[in-house]
Amino acid sequence: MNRTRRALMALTLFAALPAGAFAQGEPALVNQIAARLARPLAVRARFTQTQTLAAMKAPLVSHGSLVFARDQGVIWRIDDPYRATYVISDAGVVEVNAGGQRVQRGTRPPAGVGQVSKMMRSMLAGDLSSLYSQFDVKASGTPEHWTMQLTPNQPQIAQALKGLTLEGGAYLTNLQLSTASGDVTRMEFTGSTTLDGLPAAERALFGAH
Amino acid sequence: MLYEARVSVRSTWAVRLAWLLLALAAGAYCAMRFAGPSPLQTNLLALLPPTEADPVAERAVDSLASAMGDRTVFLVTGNDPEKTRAAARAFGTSLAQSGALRNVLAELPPFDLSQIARLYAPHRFGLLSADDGASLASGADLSDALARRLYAPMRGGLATRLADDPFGWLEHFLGTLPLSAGNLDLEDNMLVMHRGASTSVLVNATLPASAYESATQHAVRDAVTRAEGELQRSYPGVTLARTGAVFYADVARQSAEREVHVIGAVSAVGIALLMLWVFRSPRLIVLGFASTAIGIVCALAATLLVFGKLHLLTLVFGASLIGEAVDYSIQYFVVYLSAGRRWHARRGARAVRPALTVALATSLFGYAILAGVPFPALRQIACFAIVGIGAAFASVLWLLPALLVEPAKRAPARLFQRAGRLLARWSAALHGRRAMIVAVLVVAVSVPGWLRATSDDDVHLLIQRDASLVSQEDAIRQATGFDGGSQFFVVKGANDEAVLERTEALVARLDAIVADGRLKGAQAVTSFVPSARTQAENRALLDRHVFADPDALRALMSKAGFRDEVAGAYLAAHARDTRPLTIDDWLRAPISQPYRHLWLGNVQPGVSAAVVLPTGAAERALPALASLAATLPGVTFVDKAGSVSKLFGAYRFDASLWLAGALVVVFASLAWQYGLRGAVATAAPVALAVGAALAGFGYANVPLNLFNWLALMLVLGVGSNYAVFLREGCAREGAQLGAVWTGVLLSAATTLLSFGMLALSSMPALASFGATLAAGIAVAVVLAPMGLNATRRPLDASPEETR
Repeated sequence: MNRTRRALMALTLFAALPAGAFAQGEPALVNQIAARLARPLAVRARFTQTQTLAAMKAPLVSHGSLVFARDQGVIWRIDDPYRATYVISDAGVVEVNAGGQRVQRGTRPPAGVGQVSKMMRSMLAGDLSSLYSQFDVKASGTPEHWTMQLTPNQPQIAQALKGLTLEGGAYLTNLQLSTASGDVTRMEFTGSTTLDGLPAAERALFGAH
Repeated sequence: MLYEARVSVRSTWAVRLAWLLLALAAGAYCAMRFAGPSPLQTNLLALLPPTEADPVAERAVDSLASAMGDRTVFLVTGNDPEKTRAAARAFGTSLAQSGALRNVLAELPPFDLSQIARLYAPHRFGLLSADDGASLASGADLSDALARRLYAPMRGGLATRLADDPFGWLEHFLGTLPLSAGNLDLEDNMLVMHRGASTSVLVNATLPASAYESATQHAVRDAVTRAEGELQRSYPGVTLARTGAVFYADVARQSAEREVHVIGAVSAVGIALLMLWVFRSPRLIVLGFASTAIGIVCALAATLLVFGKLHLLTLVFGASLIGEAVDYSIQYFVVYLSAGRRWHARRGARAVRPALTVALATSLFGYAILAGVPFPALRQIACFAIVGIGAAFASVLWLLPALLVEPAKRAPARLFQRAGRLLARWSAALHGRRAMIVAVLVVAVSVPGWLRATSDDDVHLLIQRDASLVSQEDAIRQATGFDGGSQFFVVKGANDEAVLERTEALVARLDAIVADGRLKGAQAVTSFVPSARTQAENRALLDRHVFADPDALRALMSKAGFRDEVAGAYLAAHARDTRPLTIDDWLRAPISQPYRHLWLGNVQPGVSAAVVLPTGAAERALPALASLAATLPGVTFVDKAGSVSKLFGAYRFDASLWLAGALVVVFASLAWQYGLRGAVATAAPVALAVGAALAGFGYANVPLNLFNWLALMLVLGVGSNYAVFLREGCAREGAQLGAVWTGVLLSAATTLLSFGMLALSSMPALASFGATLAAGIAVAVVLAPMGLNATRRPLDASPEETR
């Protein structure tokens, strides 16, 4: 259960990655991508998340924006159905209020998130081994428009997670996660832009905890 | 005449036979003990005295030590993550195949984390994290809580089913369980830490038997050495760190055994050479060693008989006792050689008896004081020494006369002559008024040294841990965040519930100390099992703020999008699941396994107890922790290392008083024997020696510890022998002063040799003992001629004078 969640979290973080990170099979392409990956310091995008959960009468839809900072982590801003800002970093995930102050919720940040954040960083540095150690990766298409299918290759993850589908071009545009229990989470990313650096306001948020 | 001779021969044989039987019996007993399971006590903690007034606290120390005692932890580190994981896997396999270790865990078994959720889920209506409790009590908006549960990104840790836990309260509670292990991540079923470019993998194993059995130690050492060798061959560049009581015990035992061999061999060879040089008679050397060996074997047998197990400290000290035990026979041989043709074995024994008796009495007195200190190791050492020198003394008086019947064919006349001249010159230099001047001089030189003296009461004096193992342990500790924890709280109460409530009160107070950074955290059983009272309060909180109006709750959940049947089932579960979680529920669950040391349970009829482990306590936090315990009922703070150090300090102070007292006793007994003037002359050398030795430590900037002071007690006991030997020797009828002085110097040389070797021991307590004894004895023997009777001028006695 824990592992699944971590895998899920890792992939949520991938959402913000420039595409091509997963273009497999052609070593030359992989090298190009690794070089490209190291370039942008930050990416901004909008997201729409749709969760289809067994316990719920209808799919849960949320909208918002995110900023991915290569060296820090992710700021996940939900605008709808409620407004909240979450900072995801090596230290874990914390909710911050409008003033940028940490909201006390749980005496410690949930375990595991920080590890995912670290894993993500190592992947950004070109080390995709932890991804491969947990998933079979099938890719198709071109660097301009690609689709990737991730299937857990470890029984423990497979017990809970059926699979992941990622789609994108220059940036990741779609992510779909299916659990073994039948729940499905879909994320759609639009308006991805590379930032030259992390804006001061976001930098301050990473310092909030 | 003939008849008398026959009786004498018969009784001589009887004596020889009796001693032979005694030596054989003692030897056989020792051999039997060493042939069986090793009687060596390698548990370093066993050296420590009980420090806790509360027996439950002392028991907690033991049970924590044994909980930690059979664990071993390895950390395999390398630069390539993939290779390091493979190396760890191979290392684990190799260890497991060796059979020396049990439950070798490189890869964690597929562990179903939902087990944890299953343990807690039936009790979820009484379990709230502190933050959720506070926000519920403050009347926080429930729909807000639902929204956050449904939409927040990255829920970490132990996830619960949405239908079981729509508000996420159980999930938050599970998030507070102190399950995560320091900096370790779970990768590929392995516990992995990444730091910079290096990757480390944790491998756990437990011992099949006690860490303090030498068989276990051997097997573990062999298995680990082999596995490490394979690791280095197959995965060059991968390093291994290890920790566990078994490694410390093994290293301590090996180093003690090495020291015994070195000290024993060097002392024996050195003493043999010295005796050969002086006595020129292999026969005397053999007899001297026979008497010494009887002393040591009897001491060993008696100590094993009385204490059951032998401390490493005793073993090493025992090896150095050779130098002292041989002294009695040396004195006897001196009389033998000086007697020449007029030798009569029993008369010789009678002649030497007064000197030996006084010497024995002062030594026994010194060791008896040692036995009075409540440190298990010192008691053993005292027992060993008392039996050892007692047996050596007895064998000199009763066995040697039976073996040394024939008079000596020749005496080392020239040597005695030279020694006699030396003594004459030296005692003239120390005579009368000059003695006073020398004494004043020694004191004057010593005073600045005394003023510089500092003290040291650290527990490392008794427990010296191998430096390489300590640094490996530090590496592992950094990875696991695990704290060895020699400091902890014991919480007692009349029943489980009382203990849990008191533990919660303690943890609440500790949180304040954590908040200001003096403490990293605290491990307590209440993190896993809150008290029934807390659970009831949580339940009341939920009843009041959530379940008071079922229809409103239904509407709330429906509005958030939950299916109606999910809301219905949640309400039904609330009505059904009312039993609080108990300690027994938790103990039955496998997840409690690594944390069971936190619960001591029913320690006495009507007394339950738990342990709270503070982690990362800064030195400056300790007084706060100790005073915190004093304000809470049923809570005791145990700081074993601190308590032992405090005890060292207290006894160090007492020991200085005892030393003064012992000086008075020795003086009084000498005064009774030799009169006031004689007592001053006889006691002065050893008193000055004690003072000079103390000053020496001041000058050398070596802090004084309890063991230095206790050793001074022995300096008093052993060092006064020389003045007594000299005085008694000169008083003997037909005394040959050169021979007497030779005997005294030889005795001192053997003692210096073996105690000097002791000063090189790696055990700080023994090294302190050895250095103090060697320094004190050296001064005592040099000044011993001060004790010569002032009325009788020492003459250089030629062999012709022996008539």
